[in-house]
Amino acid sequence: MSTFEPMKFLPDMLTAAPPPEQWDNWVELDAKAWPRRVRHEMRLVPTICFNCESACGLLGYVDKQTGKIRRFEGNQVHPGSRGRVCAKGPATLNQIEDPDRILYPLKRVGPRGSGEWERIGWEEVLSTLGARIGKAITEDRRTEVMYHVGRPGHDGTMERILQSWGVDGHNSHTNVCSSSARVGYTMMVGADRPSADFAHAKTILLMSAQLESGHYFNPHAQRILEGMSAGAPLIVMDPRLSNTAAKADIWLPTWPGSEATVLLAIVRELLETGRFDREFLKQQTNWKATLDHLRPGVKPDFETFLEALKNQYADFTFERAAEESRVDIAKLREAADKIAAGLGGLSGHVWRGPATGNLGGWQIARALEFLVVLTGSVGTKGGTSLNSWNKFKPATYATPEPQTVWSDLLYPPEYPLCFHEMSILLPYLATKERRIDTYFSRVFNPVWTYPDGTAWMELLADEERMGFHVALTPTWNETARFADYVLPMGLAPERHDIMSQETHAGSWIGFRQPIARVLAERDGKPFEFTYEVNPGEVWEEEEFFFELSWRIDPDGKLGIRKNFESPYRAGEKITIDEHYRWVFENSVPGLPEAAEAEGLTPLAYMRRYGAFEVTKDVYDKVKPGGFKTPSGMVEIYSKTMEEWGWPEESMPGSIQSHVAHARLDEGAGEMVLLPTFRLAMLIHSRSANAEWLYEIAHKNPLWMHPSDADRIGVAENDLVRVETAIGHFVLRPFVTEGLLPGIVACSHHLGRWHQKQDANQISRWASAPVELTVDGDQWRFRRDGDIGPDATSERGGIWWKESGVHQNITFPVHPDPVSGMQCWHQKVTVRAAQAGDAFGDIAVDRAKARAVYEEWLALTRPPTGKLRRPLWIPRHVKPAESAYQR
Amino acid sequence: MRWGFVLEQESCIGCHACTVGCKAENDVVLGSFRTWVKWIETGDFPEAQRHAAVLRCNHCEDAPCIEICPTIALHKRADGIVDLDADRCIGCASCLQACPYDAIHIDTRSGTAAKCHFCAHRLEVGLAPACVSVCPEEAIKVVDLDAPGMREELGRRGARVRKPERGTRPQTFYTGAHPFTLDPMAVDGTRTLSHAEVPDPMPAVGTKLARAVYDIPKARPWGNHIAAYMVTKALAAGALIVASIAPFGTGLDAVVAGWASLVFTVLTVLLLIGDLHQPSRFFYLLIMPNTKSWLVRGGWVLTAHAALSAVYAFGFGHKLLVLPSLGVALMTSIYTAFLFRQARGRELWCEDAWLPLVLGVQAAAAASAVGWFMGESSVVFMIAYFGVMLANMWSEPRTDGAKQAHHAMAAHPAFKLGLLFAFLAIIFPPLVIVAFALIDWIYVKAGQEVALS
Repeated sequence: MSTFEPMKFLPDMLTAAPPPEQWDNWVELDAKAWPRRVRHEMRLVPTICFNCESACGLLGYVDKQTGKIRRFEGNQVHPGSRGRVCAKGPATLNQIEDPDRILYPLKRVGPRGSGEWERIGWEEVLSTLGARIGKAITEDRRTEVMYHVGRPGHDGTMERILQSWGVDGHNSHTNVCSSSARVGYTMMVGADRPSADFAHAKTILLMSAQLESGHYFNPHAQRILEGMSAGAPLIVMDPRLSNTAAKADIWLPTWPGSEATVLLAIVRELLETGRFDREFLKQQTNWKATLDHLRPGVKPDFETFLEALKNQYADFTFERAAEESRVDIAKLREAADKIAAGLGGLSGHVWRGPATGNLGGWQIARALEFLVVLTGSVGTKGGTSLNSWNKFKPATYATPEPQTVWSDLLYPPEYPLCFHEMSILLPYLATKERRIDTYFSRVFNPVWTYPDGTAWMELLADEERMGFHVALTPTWNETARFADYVLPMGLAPERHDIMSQETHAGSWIGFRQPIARVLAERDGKPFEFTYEVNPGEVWEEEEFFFELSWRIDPDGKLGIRKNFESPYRAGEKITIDEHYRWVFENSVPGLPEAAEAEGLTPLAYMRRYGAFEVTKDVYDKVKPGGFKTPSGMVEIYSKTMEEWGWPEESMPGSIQSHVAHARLDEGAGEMVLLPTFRLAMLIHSRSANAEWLYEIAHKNPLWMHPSDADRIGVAENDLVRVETAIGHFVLRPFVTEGLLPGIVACSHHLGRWHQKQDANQISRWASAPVELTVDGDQWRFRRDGDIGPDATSERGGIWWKESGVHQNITFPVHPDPVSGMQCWHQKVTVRAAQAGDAFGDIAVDRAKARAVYEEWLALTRPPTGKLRRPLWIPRHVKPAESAYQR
Repeated sequence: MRWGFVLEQESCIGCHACTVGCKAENDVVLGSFRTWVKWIETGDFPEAQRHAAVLRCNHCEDAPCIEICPTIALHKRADGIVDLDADRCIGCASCLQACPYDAIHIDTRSGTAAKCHFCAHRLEVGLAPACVSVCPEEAIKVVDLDAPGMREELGRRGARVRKPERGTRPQTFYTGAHPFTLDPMAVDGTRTLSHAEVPDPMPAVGTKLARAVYDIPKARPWGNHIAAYMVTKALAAGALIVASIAPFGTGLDAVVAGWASLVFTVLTVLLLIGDLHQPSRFFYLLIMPNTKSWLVRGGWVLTAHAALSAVYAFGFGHKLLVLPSLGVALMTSIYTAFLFRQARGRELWCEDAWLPLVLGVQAAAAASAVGWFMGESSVVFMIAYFGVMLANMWSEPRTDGAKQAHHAMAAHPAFKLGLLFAFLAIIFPPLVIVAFALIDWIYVKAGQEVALS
């Protein structure tokens, strides 16, 4: 868009939110009684939203009379979200009031998956787990304890706790999320995530759908529009017309996997036409090492380097890019010109998108960052910074020694460069010999969300490989039904966390806190633990794990307990207040001063405001040698890639995707499925109990271009069958022009299911009853009805009749041999439904699934040197160097 | 100070934060919305586009909902807000018929109407409306429409309103909105949506310039109760006509006709009360009336009708009552036309200039049918009814919405069957009652099968 001056948002007599001075005594009028004026006296308490990782500020509006939270709005003090929220923020109310939410610790009765539970107390949980984990540690089975996190909602908390136990046990979801992008960014600039200054950009280049999803949806969407209003053109690469692409000045509907070729064609264009930042290349990059790689032995002369670089990318013509991407060549040129015009202020960002979907997607992220480097936009105003400059991670009072063991369940030998754990392979890696003794699944639903979910069902049901499964979750889900303990942990207004995200050119911390606890403290009500004031006995992880750590090491002999002793009362167990008191007193520059100016302690200040701006207007932090790469420079040539088995990928390049159209037999009807794209109002599989969100989004039809619908012979009310490498699913099409022909797409979140014996439920309006039959390797799910009369809500009638269709379970694992990323795109054949097919049918062949795993494993290049993995590449819960030895 | 919303669609990303912020603030019942986002798609790949618009009440200067509301539950404040007092609402859903914008819904939990009230309860404490506060892009603006230069600024920005031709003078303005997002006649709403069901999509329009990819369920508030009341009311009118002319030396029995009229009137009233979502409040119509509403005036007419019917039924009928009785009977049958004229959301009804005539002829035909049971019927009235229905079928309404509904109605088997029965009634008058049932049913249904948003 050209420059656009938004209208003034509010007249002077109105404010968007009550000012903090009034938060203790806010009076408002009842909405439903209006025009009768019924007063509510409220206390407003800040916290942080828990729905996605943006960590936006929320304000809980608590009725003084009833003590209940009436609603959530934004927190204007929060520098990231600035008082605004997405749809999921206010819907938190649905989630905390869900009548089916888990309120008490539960233990299974009967065999795993049989669906019967009994309530137990936290004491039993702590003593059982304390003994069990303690035993694993003392018996030196320190790779058998695992904490597997879906939604962290915290920063470093669990890493520290696990490290204090001396186990190598942190597993995460990163490799279904952003592993490839992180590899691409890390190889070039030594930081795994970009932080784009969208609001001041000259040009914005997005490869995810940041106006509806992406890691920091709300804070980014705000600033992207600001940048656009100020005149920055928006270029979006996406085979699908996302809402983000719909807002773009240029939509490049690239064939999946072609993005690196397109980006490098633009690189070539910039180099050829001299539209790049020479000084930046000369001062900040490893051009000498790059030249030496391209032309070994040649004198290090900058002009020669430029020649060699141009030569390296001479093949990346626009013609080639147009052929691979199927994007009109004129559009590619137009995009190149706009990117060139963004010199010094290119805000480029990829989170998942093509980096995640495609084999070799990490090179796509690297190519994007290469453009940021070439245009001299690293760390500039309007450019793209490193996350490490715009994110603040405060130190805690005790930092444990790194563990001295290495878990092959997390970082198996074949994937030395994987970014974060090979979590998708856990069902294949865990064996009777290499087993898991105690497993925490934490706001994590791999049975449903992960590829090859039937492998997870097998693993979780197998007591030999999976000794004890503790599900830490607020709601029931397809994974928790396989647990031995189901422990309720709090939502946004029910827990403590510190969050900080690189939302813009500055840094902040947000403080998530249990609202009922905050008020109980203010009112002088006695309590010891958060679960005493939360709904039911809902607890919070941090307090739970402090307690558990003491149970594991009650006398301190294991060296664990000392990490959880109070800094204020020697030798005593730390309280959660003391934990945060210490952080705020010692680790956040500017906070003690700001608190003192208001006559508050730092902890009281954070409890009052919920957020603190640590730095602002962070620009121009680049300095030669200041990057966390092996050379300290921005690395165009990566020696690491060469040394770790991938010499042909040591330069930014383009790897042919597993779903490049050159690899498809389009004549035989092979297509690409773009799966699990996000919707703005849902979050993975845990917004199912938010009826305000679900009534907006409850269907996931198969997006399909009209030309493909004609070819396949289906119309919108027909059933179609999508056949993947290992199975199929049956649903209906959504025929749209907003999609590249040859691609089909299906959104995430939808297609929840439960079996008859699941006594406690995923919300009935979101989940279909299924009949599962397992015949050897053949697994079949058949829908047994859909949303029925038992789907009720106090908020009104459930008016939608059909729930969605589960797709992920029919996908095999596709671990990228470099990044470990689950390459989500699927090569599929789409047909009109066959006789006997019914809506919601799912079929999986486990033999085929295992075969695909072997096929992708064969692509890996295990290390040959002394180390398991490069020391310099980040790793969650980094072990001691000794553990890196092979 | 006149409050107004400006929806700055240039800034809007269609994320539904406003939808949910409003739900949370006002506890809006599931299945209905006080504000929502409509998404449409235009064009062909690779020039395909998608556009969003945030829709809600327009707080019209000439609000049809206020005019029709029988109990002054809806009213226009001095500061421009069209406010709704649910304590006065009887749940008749007339406002849903009057509003051309789908802005109002019935909260099925309370049986009362609800709509955007500009979060007046928040303005009172200096707080912006909930939708305004949550929006990530600050795309929803609150403005003082009376502020100097404001109207000029809106003009400069090319601000538009929804359906200006309906004469409601909306005070909710849109900048940067794709015109098709504000014009449901340009959008095919029958196609599959991208992430939601619409349980009962509105029929497609002739020219499909765009298709909806996200939309909300649409209400058709009036159904069999209203169709039935039109039949019983026609029969009541017919019976009173018979009673009024009975004393003039015909073979007609004024007492029987009087009782027939009374029974049908009571049935009519019971159907009307039964149709209310708050039936126990029906008498609010009498004790807190909006005297401009034809629901209220119709209520008075029905009361007079019942009184006169009783006079005949209890044997006190007299030739001198003929003119008042004919007058009331006529009003009983045709007042619905004036009520429907106030239903400015339903163009089939409100643009139907012939409706008073049609209903008057219907009453005459009803009189003939009632009279038939007493041995006296009028072929002329039956021919007139058939003729008027035929003319109706061939007529072409003026506005697009009326045309669409009219075509759908005339093509529907119920209408054709009704015409057939109207023809057969020329020979056998009682069959006209079947014609009434079929035609009134499809008239009520077709009128509500046009997308308003």
